Amino acid sequence: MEKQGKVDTCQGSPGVEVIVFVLFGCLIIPSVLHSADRIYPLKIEANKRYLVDQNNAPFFIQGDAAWSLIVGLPDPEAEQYLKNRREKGFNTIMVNLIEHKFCKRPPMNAAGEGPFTTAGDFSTPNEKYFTHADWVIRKAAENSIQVLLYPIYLGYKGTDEGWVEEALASGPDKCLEYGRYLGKRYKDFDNIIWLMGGDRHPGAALEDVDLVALGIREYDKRHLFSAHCDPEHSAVDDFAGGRWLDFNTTYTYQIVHEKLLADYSRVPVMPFILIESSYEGEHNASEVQIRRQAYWAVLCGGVGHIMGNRPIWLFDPGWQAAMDLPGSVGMMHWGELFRSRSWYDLVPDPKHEVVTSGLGEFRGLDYLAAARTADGSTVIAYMPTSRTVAVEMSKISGSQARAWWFDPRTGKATKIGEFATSASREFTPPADGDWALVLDDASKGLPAPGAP
Amino acid sequence: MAGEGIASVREAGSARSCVALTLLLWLVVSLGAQAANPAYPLKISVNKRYFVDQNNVPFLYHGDTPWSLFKNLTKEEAEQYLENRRQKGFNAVIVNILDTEPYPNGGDVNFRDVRNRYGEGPFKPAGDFSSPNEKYFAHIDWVIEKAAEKGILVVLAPAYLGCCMDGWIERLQANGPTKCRDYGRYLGNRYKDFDNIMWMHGGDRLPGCATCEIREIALGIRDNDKRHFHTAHWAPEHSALDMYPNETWLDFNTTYTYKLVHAMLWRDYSRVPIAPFILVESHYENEHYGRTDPRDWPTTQWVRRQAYWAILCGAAGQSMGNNPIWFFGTGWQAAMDSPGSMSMVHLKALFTSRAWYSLVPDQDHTVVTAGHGDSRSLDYLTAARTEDGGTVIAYLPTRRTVTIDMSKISGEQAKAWWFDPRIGKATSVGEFATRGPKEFTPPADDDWVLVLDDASKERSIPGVPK
Repeated sequence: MEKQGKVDTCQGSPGVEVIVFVLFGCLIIPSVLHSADRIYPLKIEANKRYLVDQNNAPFFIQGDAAWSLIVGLPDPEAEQYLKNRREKGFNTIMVNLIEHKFCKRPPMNAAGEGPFTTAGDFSTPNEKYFTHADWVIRKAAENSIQVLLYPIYLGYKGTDEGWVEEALASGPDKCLEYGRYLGKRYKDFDNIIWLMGGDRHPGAALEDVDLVALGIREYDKRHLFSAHCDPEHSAVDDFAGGRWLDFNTTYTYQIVHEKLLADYSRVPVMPFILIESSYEGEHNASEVQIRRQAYWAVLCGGVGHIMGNRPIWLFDPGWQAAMDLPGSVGMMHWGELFRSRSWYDLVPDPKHEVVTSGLGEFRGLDYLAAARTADGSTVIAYMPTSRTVAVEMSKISGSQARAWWFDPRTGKATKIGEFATSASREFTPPADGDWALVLDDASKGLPAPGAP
Repeated sequence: MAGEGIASVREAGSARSCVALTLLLWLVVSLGAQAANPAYPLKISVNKRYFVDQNNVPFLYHGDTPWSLFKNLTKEEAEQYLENRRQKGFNAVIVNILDTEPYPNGGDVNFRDVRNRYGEGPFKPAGDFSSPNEKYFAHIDWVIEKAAEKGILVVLAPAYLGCCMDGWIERLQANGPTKCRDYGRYLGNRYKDFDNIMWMHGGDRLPGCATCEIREIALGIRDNDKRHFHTAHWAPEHSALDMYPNETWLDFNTTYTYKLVHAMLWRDYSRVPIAPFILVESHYENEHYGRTDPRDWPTTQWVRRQAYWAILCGAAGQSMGNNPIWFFGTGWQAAMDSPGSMSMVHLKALFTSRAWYSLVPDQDHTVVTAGHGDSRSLDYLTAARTEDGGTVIAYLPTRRTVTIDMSKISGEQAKAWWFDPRIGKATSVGEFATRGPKEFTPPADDDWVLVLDDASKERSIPGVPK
């Protein structure tokens, strides 16, 4: 499954790339290339609960916020960033295609190119600017990383962080034209998901945002779309019934697991990710906050999470060192754990039928989130603080269950033992802090949690 | 100390009643029965941050929420309830005049009247706001007077709107603005001479389609009663002053939130112009809407946390709630001694043993400089310092080491205490120079209150009366 940085830059549709390669020789990295190696673009799985890659393998989104990557970094540093993220298992980054505030001379990139030849006029894209953006997206592809690409980031309400004024000034026609331009330009890139809006309700700019999306889709029918709204609102709250919204996003700084469970319970069913919650280095967020929101995201039914770190997200001084802080390391182990189990089969346990005590507060920070695969072969429970928990062992398939403690700080799994799958059984973590309890049907012979 | 004393308090202001009040106070003190009852009606402090009584004594709003006290209890039971609350130091209760009932008034199709324990409904004919039933209101009078005897303020909700087809919003519309004005005038006339009341409009819902009717009730009351404050209780995540923004009849604010309580409290503290606010509702003990599994209900610690946050974020007080007390369901008597109620006893003892009204929230972390927890999360530390630097109080929802800038405390030496909010017991930590940063770590797990006093002030042990 490990993708080794192959990239295909100008093939048309799946299956024709070899011909394209032979005829025109336009691949940047002409390594062995056939459709089995292609993972992007992602698709929606038939049961609508998760995303799959081009081989229909479930795709776990381990993301990082790199809002100013395209606009803020010279090439060597962008490569340094992508390499570090890839080594930690990140497969997704969120990036502003055009940046309004968070760079040295907004909206110009490090080479001094702005996105539009007439400032703020969406009908005048600057070829040089977008050529550099192309390069960054291709570099991400070389690192097997997909880009959640924001074409029209709106910015927090009441701030000048985003493009809402320019969108309104440009108006519907130019927004549609801008969308078409992007659709034509990026339809052949594989590693893209379009993210509309950003950090606020579209409000008066709803039509403009909508037309950018529809303009893209006129030419680009290959990529998924989602959206990023005001805090405490999910994508479907603002774009419900949209003609382009493919999956949902949870965005909350409040009681994270409660919002996640609400999105899990939505009808009709839609896959969702925790697109934003507390960022490391902001809001006094603790190490455990960064971890618990990520574990909650998956155990409450989400298909991944985009972490954030300041200074990384805007590439302020110190961002290189910040890439190895506990937040990023914790996300690496989090990804390892879930990818070592059938995470896509996990069903949340909000009624506490599997873990029956030691739950913490339902609306509290110490809330224990648990989930069980539909076939009962694996149970995973995450507790933000150490405590004794009771598990209804009969919920695990087979006659014996193998139990493990997984340390979210270090990624180390410690075997507890094997136990009969009958009656209730108590487990107590070996030390203070947050822990994940993993219980497997012993007959399945699964590797240690977190092992490849 | 029954009828006559109450009458005297109610007339406070005249020379004769001042004498009577003095005699009454002397009597109460000499009998060692209890501290003097507040001299109602309340006023707002000069700095607009808290309530004071008629003698300008600061009043820490310390409330319970027996919404159905008038409707669901007999006189004997109401007295039992009020006496228990008095003994625990509660000094305010929120009560519906027109009470909730499961689906009684959800439109006229299912309309049936609300009846109190004596079979009386508020109106004859039922639901007609222009025809109040004397017997129904006479019972309410009796309960308010009984509360006055016990020094308890009654916050009257004229017509509970209802969260979910369980209130009066449809009847307000059916009666229309004119009858609502008349109903307000009736209430104003009837209760203008009661001292121990305030008015609270709404009830679990935004005014919405009854915006006009609610205003008419309020203005109708004010036509006849200019002595008492008005506030409101809207839908969760809305404060009283969020509605009717350009009108002047809402006198003080309420915070109502089930989310990040301290964040909403900060919002109300930072409002301009300044208005006093209370935490009118957050999680009730033994319930959480939408969750039937008791394992998902808030813990006792949660009930404490939100209350301590309220005072330390600058509120003029707070209100607890308990299921089954709020509607007097089975088991309410035993519930009055629940851990939540006991925690409130200790909270009040702590703050009234210090100059709580002088506390200024430490919003910029100049007093507590480390160990805050996540600012947008539920382990967040809140702290406040009296204006003169004589006392610092910090509440830690979970155990952690905190750093205090000791130079923010007045005097040469500071006396430090850990106050256990579960049992109300303070343990001395020692005396320290008021210089530089100093770390403090609670003696055990869970929530703790750190109290630091200027040693030269020789304060009492935290939680023990001054």
